Amino acid sequence: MKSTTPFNSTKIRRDFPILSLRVQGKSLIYFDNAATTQKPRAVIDKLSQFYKVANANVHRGSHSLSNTATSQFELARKTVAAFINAPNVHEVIWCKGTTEAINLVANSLGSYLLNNSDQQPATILVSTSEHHANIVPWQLIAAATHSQVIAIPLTKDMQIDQAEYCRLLTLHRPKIVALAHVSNALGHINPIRQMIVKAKEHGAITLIDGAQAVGHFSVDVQQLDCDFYCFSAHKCFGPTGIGVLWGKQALLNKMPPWQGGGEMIEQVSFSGTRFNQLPFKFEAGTPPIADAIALGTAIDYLTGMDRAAAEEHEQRLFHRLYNGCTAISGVQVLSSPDNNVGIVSFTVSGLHHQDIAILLDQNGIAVRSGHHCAMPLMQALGIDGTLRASISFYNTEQEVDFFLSALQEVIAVLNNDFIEDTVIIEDKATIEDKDTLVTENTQRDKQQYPASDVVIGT
Amino acid sequence: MSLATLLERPNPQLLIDQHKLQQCESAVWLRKTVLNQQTSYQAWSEAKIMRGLLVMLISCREQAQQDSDLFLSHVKLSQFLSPSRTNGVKAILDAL
Repeated sequence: MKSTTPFNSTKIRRDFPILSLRVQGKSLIYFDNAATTQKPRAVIDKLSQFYKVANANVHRGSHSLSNTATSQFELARKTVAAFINAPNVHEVIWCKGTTEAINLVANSLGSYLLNNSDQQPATILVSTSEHHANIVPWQLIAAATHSQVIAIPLTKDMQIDQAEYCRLLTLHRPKIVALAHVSNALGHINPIRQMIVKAKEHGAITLIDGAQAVGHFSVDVQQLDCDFYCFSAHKCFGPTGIGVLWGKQALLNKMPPWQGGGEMIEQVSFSGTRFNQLPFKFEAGTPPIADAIALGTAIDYLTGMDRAAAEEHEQRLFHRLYNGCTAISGVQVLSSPDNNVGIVSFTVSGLHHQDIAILLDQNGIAVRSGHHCAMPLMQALGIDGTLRASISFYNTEQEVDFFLSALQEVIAVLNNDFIEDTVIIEDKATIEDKDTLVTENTQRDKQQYPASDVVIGT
Repeated sequence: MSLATLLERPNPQLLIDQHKLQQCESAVWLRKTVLNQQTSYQAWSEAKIMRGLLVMLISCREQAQQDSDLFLSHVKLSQFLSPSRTNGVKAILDAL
């Protein structure tokens, strides 16, 4: 059994060079981990090392360098298989990321499964809180196959409504159920184990979007018993441009290739082409070799630490952040404190999330503002966006405290309409044609430009 | 942000999709009217900083339209604007 290193957040931070960066003259506080995670030195070095001493195309075993690259590349696949406890290594398919993995399944499985002569349109069931990547690919294949995408509604506390889920399963008998393991906008861990069981009882094939899960806790695809599981490397400390689709062999074998090209063929001729075996059938073209190998390194890094202790640390930070945010006047936290990977999504009364994010950035704090690629969820919430602070194991209690203090200051600044913005006023003087500028005299300007009208004589 | 106070919430007639600009991170509505050789603009955004930017861009539109990147750099706003926001600025300048 692999030995693990005891968890020490101070020591761990040293593994991530970017965390010592200064942004806007302030120490970086990176609370945008749900968008992408930072990379440990081991991953950065692996990428560099590959291009320095091992770069060659894979599966072209005519020279030593290619054999080295192929060995490392296929070792990374084994590492991924062990990471998610996949029963067979050839069930692990490299993709650009979660989005491409879902597109692959939607197109390949969709064309195989949804093209039928049933009188009733086939149904694909998703939840209202899905990322667009787990909605739009299904809508596209649904439009092409005269199928329908049905959304499971949410409860008042923004959890997937289980009673409605059961009702929709019975009513539509969907062919595919596609769910996020963790909501990217809210951080909620969905009860997918029991949802998969129910989907199977109704004969549905299940796909789980694990993008927000694998960076926070261990995943076992055999225990989940889903049919497909996918995730992106960059959300679990690996490089961008590489991700994983795991699928059950029996299904993958039945599915037609999605993209054509090199690697995915066995024999090509104009009288007919035979396709390669798994996993290469779904890996057309030269893959992102260095990135796949570096994903293996990221997984080694992650599994080399005491993950239970890292998870405990994340939960301590999350509850500190959650409690701190809920205590600030005007802040409405939309995330639940229970079963949450470490995302606090919130709005502030009377203030726009974008304004707050810009001013937090002035304090070196990186958060995400907007709809988080989950517009249907925002519609269900009746808002156009939120601020999302998302933590990882390399964040600290001091960062949480600084964030809470900065957030209160930013809210106070934005609530004060008459604050002097010296940056803008000073800069105005640098423009040559001062006459066309709005001047510092607010009262005069208000007379000159009433309401929302700005009148410029031409 | 002080420039943002020059814009007051307009009547709902402005806030329709016809006047809404795409590519802006926060919703921006802009209407240009030319009457008796005078051009007037009605503009609004839910975000205060964007409202201030709207006032600045409308006021300095000629300089900004010549070279938006240089203009944003001159007024030291480049560092505050993410690429998607810069795209929004370009969308505003195109609409002016």
